[in-house]
Amino acid sequence: MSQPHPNDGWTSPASRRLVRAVLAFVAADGALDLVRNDLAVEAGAKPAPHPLWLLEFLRTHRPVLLVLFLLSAFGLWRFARRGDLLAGALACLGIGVCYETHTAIYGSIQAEILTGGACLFGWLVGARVMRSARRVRDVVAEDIGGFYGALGVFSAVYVAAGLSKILRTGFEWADGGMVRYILMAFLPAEDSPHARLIQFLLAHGGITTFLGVFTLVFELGAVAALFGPRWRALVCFCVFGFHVSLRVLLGMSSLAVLVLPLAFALPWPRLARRWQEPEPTLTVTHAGLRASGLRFAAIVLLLTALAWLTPVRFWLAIRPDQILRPWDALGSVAAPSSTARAPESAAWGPPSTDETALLGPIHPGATLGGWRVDQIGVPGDSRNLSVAISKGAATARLELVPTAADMPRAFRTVGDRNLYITHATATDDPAAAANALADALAPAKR
Amino acid sequence: MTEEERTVSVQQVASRVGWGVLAAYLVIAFGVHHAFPFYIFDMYSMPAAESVAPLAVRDARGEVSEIRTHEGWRCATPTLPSFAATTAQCGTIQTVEARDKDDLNWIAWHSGNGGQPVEIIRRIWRIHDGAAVSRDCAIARCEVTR
Repeated sequence: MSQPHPNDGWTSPASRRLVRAVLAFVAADGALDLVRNDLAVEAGAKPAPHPLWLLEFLRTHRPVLLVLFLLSAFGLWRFARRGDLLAGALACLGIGVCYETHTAIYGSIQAEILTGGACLFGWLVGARVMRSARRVRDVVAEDIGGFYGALGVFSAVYVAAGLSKILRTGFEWADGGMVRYILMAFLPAEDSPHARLIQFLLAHGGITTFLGVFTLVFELGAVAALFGPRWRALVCFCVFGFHVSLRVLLGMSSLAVLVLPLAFALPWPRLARRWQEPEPTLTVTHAGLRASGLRFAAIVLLLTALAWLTPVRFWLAIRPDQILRPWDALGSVAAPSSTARAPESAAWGPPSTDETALLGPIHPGATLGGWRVDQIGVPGDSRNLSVAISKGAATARLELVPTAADMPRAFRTVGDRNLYITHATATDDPAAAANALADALAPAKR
Repeated sequence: MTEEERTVSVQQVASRVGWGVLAAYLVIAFGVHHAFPFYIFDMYSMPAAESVAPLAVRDARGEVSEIRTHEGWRCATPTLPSFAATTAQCGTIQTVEARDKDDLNWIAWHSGNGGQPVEIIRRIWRIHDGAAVSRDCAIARCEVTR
């Protein structure tokens, strides 16, 4: 490595441009995957209209997604090539619309694509903060801010995952049970070296326990990437190793998400002694820093208030009766077989004893958030414990589904069940009823 | 030079940007839970179940294989049973939706004229005496070309 600069954070102008390019590639690769999926499969049954008109329009006019992707890809190219923040921001917005449309169609959450998009977003924020502090446009300074903004989000992704586990189940992950669950879920049906490797891990509880502890430690410890360059390299190589193990054992983790931690870890152009450029000494005034910091804090406060105080979760929560579940897509597959399944009954069956106990004081005639409970039971068309509610002419259904990994985005999670709002004839009121139900059930699950 | 006019190196303060963005992302993400680009990545944060049931294929000889090793899919109408109906048929099961989605997308994208009868099954795994053991539950009949 060349003689370190006095302010060396193990980066260089060339290494930061490399990270910028990698971010653009990862974001574009993810968006392409989404749009390809959305264009490839035709809907079988037509789901009910999505309450957000833009997502409903894109869901029913999918070639527009391709146009949106191409425009976003062009913006990413300008961002990668020239550090054009406006082009990058528009591209990020376009990718976000593609992502939410995909989720509206399938109901699934695409964690890897979110990682790339979030890091891109972090770069844009960091670069803008630095430009605001210096009050002049300077790609080198913006790249420095962008690098650390993206790194901040990159760390936050893994910290969030670790915190989610702790908040939901305490330190249960450390006993290895979830590791065993995931390994079993991806255990190949045929005998193979891969299957035997997974069986070996499952037979040795000490190894799966170690993997569980390691996962919690490295996820929560990802914050250390901001401590300094050596810690950053350690964290990034741990993340790389984690994703390599996911790819080997489970077939998960795309090549794009493997490249991202490597790009952050070390200044590769410097190590290769290529594209050597002097690290410029750029300065910012205290006044500029303070003003930029206050603006950033104000925006974050506003977004935090929007996130926590407005029903964003309701607007974007998946309604299972509106998504194209994977098995629904098979309506397009031609079928010569004479075996026809009887249509599922819409009649409601009674809840089980456990389900009755779960619902506690909730009964037909009760009130939830201003809505009346009309019926409780298990409808034949969904087989999930459900609460039918009404308010005047508006009706909706609240469904409680036992949680499983990677389930569609729920309105709320109560204990070991996801709460979904389905069959809603109104667009905003059911949130009050759903919150009231979740709040009523939550103490019983603790 | 006043205190306000004094300068500091961009490289020295850049990590503060990272810290600010990290904190902001966490606070906003836990508020919205999941709205691009914010997410709390809680897909594996639920309590571990005792069993899990991925999809697989069983042919006429009883041999079990992966869905993605077959092509030319043709399935009985009206489509595969819903997750809820599968639960009624096979008992309470847990799945990893990412794997289900990949398998079912494979079937949708590799459709054809069929020819060889197969069953789509849920292979329900659980740990027993330190080893993973399974039982199968058929949920649909299809045909594949190979």
